Amino acid sequence: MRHKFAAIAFIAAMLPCAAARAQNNSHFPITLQKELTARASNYTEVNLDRSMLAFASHFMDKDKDAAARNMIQKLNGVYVRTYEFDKPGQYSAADLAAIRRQFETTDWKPMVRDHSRNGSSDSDIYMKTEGGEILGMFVLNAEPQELDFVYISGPINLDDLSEIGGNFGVPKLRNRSDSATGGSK
Amino acid sequence: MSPTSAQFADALHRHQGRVYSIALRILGESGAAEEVAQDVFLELHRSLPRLKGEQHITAWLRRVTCHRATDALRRRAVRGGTAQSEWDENFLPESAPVSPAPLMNRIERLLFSLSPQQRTVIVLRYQEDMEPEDIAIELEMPLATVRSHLQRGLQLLRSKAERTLKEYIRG
Amino acid sequence: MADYHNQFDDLERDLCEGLVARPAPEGFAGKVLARVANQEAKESLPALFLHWRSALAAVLIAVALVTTGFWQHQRRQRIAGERARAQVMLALHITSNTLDSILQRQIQHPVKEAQP
Repeated sequence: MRHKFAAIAFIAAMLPCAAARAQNNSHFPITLQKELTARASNYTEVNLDRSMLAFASHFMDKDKDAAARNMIQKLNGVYVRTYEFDKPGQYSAADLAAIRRQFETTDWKPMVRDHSRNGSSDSDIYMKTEGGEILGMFVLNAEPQELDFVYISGPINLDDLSEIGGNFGVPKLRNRSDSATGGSK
Repeated sequence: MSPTSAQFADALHRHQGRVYSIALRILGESGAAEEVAQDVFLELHRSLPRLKGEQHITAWLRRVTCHRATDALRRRAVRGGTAQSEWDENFLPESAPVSPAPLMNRIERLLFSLSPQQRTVIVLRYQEDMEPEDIAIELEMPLATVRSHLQRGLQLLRSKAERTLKEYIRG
Repeated sequence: MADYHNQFDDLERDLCEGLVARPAPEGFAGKVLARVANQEAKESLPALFLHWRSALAAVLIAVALVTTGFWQHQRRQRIAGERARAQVMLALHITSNTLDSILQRQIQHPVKEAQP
């Protein structure tokens, strides 16, 4: 009997921890073949979780980096992967299909899906929405000799993203997403 | 008074005569002897914590007094003076009791016809009642040298005394 | 003359008996104690000064260590922060480039909107 109480107490104590972990569970969500990295002639990986973003925001210029600072302060994480290949054919359509399948859940909605017939370039933008609020974005951009993935976790304000466009050339997504959302209706 | 201060005061009262006498019989001048004796006790005050036991203190006082008195003689010679060869009339301070044996006063004066080394060895041998072996250790001198100084010193004392004391006895 | 010779036969005995320690001059002990007291007073001042200097040196060293430690920590934090900021900027730059290239492609070709 005493053991049962102990077990219940332990589970009760662990529940908030598990919930907190689940809430902060922001990591790069897709599994990639290790061979992809091995085959790439050049690759970039950026992993910024919530604490790292908060830390970085302290060192950003309040005026010059205002838009970026404002945006990252609300995010849970930003994860980026880019792979450059010496020659085409280093990844297959099946590889991309496997990655897309990981976002084919009820939480995620494909906002842009642009697949060329000859397989020369593929683009996908998935967004996670809840109550009309965007809580995540996944971008896949595949070209014959380049493969890019961007995963942003957390509440994304498209205005903030557009503001960043001023600094980084991010396209004005509002219109595109509006049209994409509109098109999907 | 701290234990060290009490020990120092005790050593000062018990050994002041010994230290002063050694210095006086080596230097032959009461003022210089008093100065050397004071310096020796100041040095003792600094060194006392390192000295263990009465015997150690006594041996230390003898050795340091001999060295400081010999140093004072050397300094006097360097300054252009000569080593004391004549008996200082102030050898006995006014306050000091006059020796009941006038013969000994004469012998003490004769000490200054000896070299400083001979004088030192004879003072340690007869004032301090030390064996030649102990004197050799104390002065860090070969035993044969100590014996030689003693023998030669006594011979000189005898020959000088034969001449000077003859008149004294006659007188 | 015989008396004279007898006396010198006993020279060593006379030395033993006659070369006794003489008393130190009047006030000798007092003078020594006064010099000791004077010397102690002189030595205590530099010692006090030495202690004061040691304490000051220790405080200065401690302050220097704390300052250096703090400065090193701040420097490391700043370097790490600058690195984190650079990572954020790189991530946003890649995001912007990726989105831009998708947009350019959509402008060049007829837009195929997603059907969620």
